[in-house]
Amino acid sequence: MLAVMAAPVCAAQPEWRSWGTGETSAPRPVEGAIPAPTPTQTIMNEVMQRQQQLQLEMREIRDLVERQGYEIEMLKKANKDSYADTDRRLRALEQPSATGGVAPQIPGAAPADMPAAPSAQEAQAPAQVPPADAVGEQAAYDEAFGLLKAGKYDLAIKAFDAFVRTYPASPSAPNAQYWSGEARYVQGDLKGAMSQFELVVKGAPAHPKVPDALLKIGYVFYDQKNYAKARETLNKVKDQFPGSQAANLAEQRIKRMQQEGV
Amino acid sequence: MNRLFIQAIALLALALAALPARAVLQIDITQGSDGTLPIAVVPFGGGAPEDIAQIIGADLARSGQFNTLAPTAMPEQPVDPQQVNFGAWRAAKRDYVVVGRVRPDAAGFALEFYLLDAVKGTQVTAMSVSASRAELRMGAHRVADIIYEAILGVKGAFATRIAYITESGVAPYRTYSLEVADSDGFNPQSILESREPIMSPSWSPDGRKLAYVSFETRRSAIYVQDLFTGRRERVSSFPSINGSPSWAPTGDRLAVTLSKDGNPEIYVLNLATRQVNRLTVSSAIDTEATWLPDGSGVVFTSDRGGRPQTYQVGIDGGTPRRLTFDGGYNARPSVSADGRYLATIQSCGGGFCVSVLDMKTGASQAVSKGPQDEAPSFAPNGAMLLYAASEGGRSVLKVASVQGRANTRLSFGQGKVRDPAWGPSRQ
Repeated sequence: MLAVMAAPVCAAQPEWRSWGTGETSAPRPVEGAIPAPTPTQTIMNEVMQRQQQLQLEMREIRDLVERQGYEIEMLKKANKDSYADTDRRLRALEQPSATGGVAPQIPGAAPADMPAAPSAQEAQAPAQVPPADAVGEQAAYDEAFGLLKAGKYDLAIKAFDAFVRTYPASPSAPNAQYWSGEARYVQGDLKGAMSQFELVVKGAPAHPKVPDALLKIGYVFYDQKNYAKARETLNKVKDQFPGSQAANLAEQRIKRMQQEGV
Repeated sequence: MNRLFIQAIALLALALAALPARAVLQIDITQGSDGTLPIAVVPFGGGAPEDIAQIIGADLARSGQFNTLAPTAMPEQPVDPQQVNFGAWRAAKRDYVVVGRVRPDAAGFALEFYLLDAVKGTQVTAMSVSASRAELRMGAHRVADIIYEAILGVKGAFATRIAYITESGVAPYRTYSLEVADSDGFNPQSILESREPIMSPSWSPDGRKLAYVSFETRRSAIYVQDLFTGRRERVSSFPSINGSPSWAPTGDRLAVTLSKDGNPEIYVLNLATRQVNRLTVSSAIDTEATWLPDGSGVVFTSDRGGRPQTYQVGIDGGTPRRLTFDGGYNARPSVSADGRYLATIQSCGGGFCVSVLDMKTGASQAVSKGPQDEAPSFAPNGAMLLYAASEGGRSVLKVASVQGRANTRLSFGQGKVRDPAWGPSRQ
């Protein structure tokens, strides 16, 4: 198929081999036999053979490198696609639909336990957001979430906190509290993160973000080296939300703690 | 070198009418297709020495985009658009109907035709194409191009020519011939005959010239030949291999394979200065270069990774980028005019078949079945591929639609046929 390749580019070198040893009768040269190679020829041939071997190996390695490069390229692309997909799905989750795709939270279910007074008060207010405001609410949430994704944690915290103040009755308020906690956690503000996660857990116990928030409380305890509390909280995640991703992660962390002997 | 005889035949006025039609006689659709547009090309009225409607219908069917109706299955055979009974054609499940007639005119013949939408009962387009006797078949191909474009919005590639090499007879009387024919394999004419091998024809972008490899001096050399004047010139005769010429889209350069510096590498040969510029550096074999349509670089075959695969390198050299990863063997690249598709010969099912890689999505698809397919060449509109195949010991050229929907055989009487190259669209 490769017309040019058909031409003998590099004729194979004849192979020179010494005759077998261990023969019973004294070997005698056959008439017309190929004369024994001189030592120089032997060395030359060995060098040639080695060179061909190396070339062959080099090509195999090149093939491997090219294939791996291609696979990495494909993985990068797949990763990017999968990130976009995750992002899309995450957003869908983060935006509880107006038709009530997410379990409704119970405003003021445990108001006495709310540590942050302002939001508790506002949460108890009748939560009738006019439809016209729904657009602004969504935009405000999107903006805060955008800041978080962009890694602008300070601004994201401010935006999420502002969102909770402005729309305390929004079904997205616990999400905002959760992400505010995440942003603080990323920045190492363990206490601030803890209080946000507690707001979610205690303020909206039926909210779908609660397992994650509880898990993160466990993580914070771990980071604070409060291992007893960490274990207790993580076990709570396992027991209360079996089969969830949070329970899975809690399990992993508990195992890690066992390995670390803490 | 008196055993060698070379005959350069001038291709004056496209076709010498007197020249007997040589090998090609038969065209068969070897593979049907689904999802094609139903059309009927009614036999033309008036008198013509060729069956115009049959030529047009065969073109449309070969594209893999249409299915046609045999005249015997037609509900009626009108000549004028006013006579057409659209209801009858709808009942025959035809979306489009073509009617027309051949009239004598100053050039010889005028092919007057009407493309009608049977579903809507309207006229899509109507035109008249003039052609001399010698160009009559080409005139019909032009009508097919107009119909193809009017319906699909994509240029047709029927009024084009193809070049290929035939090999006939037994050594020492074996004869190689460089031939040029219409895109449907008709009107073949020998451009060059030789007792020594001829290989790898490549069209100049204006369709006037062919570059090819000839062993007429018992050594490989690259020649450029003007099809209209017959004038030929040896442009590359370096020591060792001179192979695989590919004409640059700019028309002033050839990409070639030379082994003057040790092993086969890709070079760019400037036709005006005859200077060569080396593009690849590798201890492996680099060959079969073909230009990217924008002229920014070439795609070529190399076994630098152990087995032949295709790579792309820029016109200024640099590190080649490997393009093919599917299949253990990819060679003989051809790039579509829009630069999106790469056709290669790929190993498949123990043999070799034509595979098309969509370089945008990375998806590849076999468009032929093998087992011994060779040398794919894209039509200028990128919708069809011409390739050489072997069938029951016979050597044939085939046309595949790029969607893999249709596969048509251009049959040749005897001998071998290889290295087909699809010429450019008429300027």
